[in-house]
Amino acid sequence: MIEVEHVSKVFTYANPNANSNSPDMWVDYLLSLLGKKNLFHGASKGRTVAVEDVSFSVNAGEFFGLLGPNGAGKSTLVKMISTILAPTSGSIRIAGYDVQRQPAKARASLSVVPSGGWLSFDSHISVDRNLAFWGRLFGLDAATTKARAREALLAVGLEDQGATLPMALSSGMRQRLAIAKGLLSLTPCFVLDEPTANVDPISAADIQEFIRTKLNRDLGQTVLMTTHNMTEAERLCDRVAIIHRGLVVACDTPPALLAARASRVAEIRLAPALMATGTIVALREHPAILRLQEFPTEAGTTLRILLGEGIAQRDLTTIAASAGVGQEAVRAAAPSLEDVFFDVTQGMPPTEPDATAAIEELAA
Amino acid sequence: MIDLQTAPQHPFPREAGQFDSPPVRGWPYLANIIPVLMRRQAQLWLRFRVSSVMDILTMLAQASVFFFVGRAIGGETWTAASAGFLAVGIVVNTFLQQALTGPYHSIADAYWSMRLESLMFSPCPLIVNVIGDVLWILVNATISATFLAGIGAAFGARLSASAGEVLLAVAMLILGTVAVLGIGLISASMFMLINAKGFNDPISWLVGVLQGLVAGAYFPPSELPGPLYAVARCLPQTYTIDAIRRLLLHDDPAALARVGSLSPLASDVLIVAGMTVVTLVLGAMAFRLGIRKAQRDGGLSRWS
Repeated sequence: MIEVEHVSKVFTYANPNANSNSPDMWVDYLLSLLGKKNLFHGASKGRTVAVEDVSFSVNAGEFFGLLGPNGAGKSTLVKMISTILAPTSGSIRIAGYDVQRQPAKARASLSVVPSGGWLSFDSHISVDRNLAFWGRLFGLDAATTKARAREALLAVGLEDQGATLPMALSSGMRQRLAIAKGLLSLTPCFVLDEPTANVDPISAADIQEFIRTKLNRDLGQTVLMTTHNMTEAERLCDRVAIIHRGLVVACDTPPALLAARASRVAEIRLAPALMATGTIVALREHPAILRLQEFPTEAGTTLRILLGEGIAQRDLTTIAASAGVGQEAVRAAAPSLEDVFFDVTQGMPPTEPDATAAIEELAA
Repeated sequence: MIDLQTAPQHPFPREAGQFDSPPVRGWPYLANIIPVLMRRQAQLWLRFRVSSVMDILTMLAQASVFFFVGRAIGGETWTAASAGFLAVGIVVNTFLQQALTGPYHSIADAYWSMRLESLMFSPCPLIVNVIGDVLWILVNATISATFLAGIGAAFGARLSASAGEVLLAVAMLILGTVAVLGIGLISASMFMLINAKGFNDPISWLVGVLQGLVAGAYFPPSELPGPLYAVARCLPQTYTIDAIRRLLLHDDPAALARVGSLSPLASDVLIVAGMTVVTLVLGAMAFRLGIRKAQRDGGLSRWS
């Protein structure tokens, strides 16, 4: 249904402030093109590889997740899928239509719900009128648009908000309204960019349940969802592609990704007495340990450990003993997508300049 | 809370090609979608009706200044013909100015109000959205022009034209507006091509300034010094205003050079028709280039 083949996107910047609304912006732009540096040393000041040789396909009826931290290239990829950004190389097909050669048909096969939902509406006209306008843009007649708008609002639980202005709705409601807008046009694919970002946990759970149960399972919609929330991806998606620094570093079903690391995740329950002996430092610095997380408990601290490739849980007993920890403290633990992400991106620089911020964001 | 039990079942398809994709190309689609785009603009106009009415009043006050100045300076030489000359110039200029700036403002407004990407997700080409918006802007200009004509009449302007000539003048106004719309599309493409996003672009600025200065809206271009008169003859606005004056005011003092053996009116029409073809082709090409550049560099995208 969605086929992405060897897609790359490289941005070149003649002017780093391209989105400024200064009235003199165009003068700056022209001067930057004519500037000595650009005239004699190429037309651009900067170059960013946002997406590099990405390939994946989303099957009809599948719930596919694009998982990665902010700046990984998810939104760039989604913009290319939704035809508003052209790939530098590679091809994308939606329901068989090439997004560059048949953009109108590709768009008619796709409902895009941008992050936050605030990009989807005209803030100054009512929900009903927004939906009526959107349905007509997709070529529906007035009567069909009206009937489908009623059904779509009912489907997302906003049937009593028709006269409301979108800006008066909560973030969660706006997100559901964006989905309702997609339901109008009966497109076979939905692309949802971080649908639960900036939404409270209760609304987020509500939206997740709706997308998985109603949109994907009951209505048979093919869903491509981007998220940086590992738990969300693990719970909702049939398959996930992990994207980091513009590269797809893993793509499989969550159970398969987890099973491949099942023997490499373990926990050590550390007694308070060992806390001051440098045990944690010794374990953290051990070359066989990829990642160590500390979780304080009433009985001391639990260390969650991801072992390097080829290292098994039983090897951890020996490693722990060398750090002064008895074998009874070591036990197996279930891997998470967070472990998978850490594993597949090891050795790669983080997307964010501040590595800690990126990891914390993923953990959240 | 979403009620998953009571939510209705859509006949959603599961396979590609099995969904009911309505036609989103061709004249039937355009005929349906243009009124929808205009209606949306009308809804926005009604939502901001107080400020819209204030804008019209401001424009009427500004136009009145020209009549007051003309009457004060003209003294005894101020006649009905003078008022008619000025009234026709101001009314026609109103349409041409909107055709010039409308396309740029359609893109800029959508971009800065976060609607542009949403429009770009739809199968409706962006240029159709722009044309729909501009058509509403021209409807709005008709309202303003009616009031301006009333101001002109209050200062003594009278038409000296038959019904047929009025119809021809309307046709000429449409032709000239389309010619200027082509320049407007070039102006709108500057939003993408040179990142002129600050509600200011070099094309509409330059042409707009020249339109007011040399196209003959407020005084005959024949009064201009040589170089400016030459510039005037490069603008479709000059010929449009001239032709409409010739049709509606037979004693119009404006005079433009003939083309061959044709009458001044016929030469005006031919020149504007030729310019219309040129500006529309250039406008469409520039707009297409602009969209391609924006798709390359993400210049129309605010979603991150």
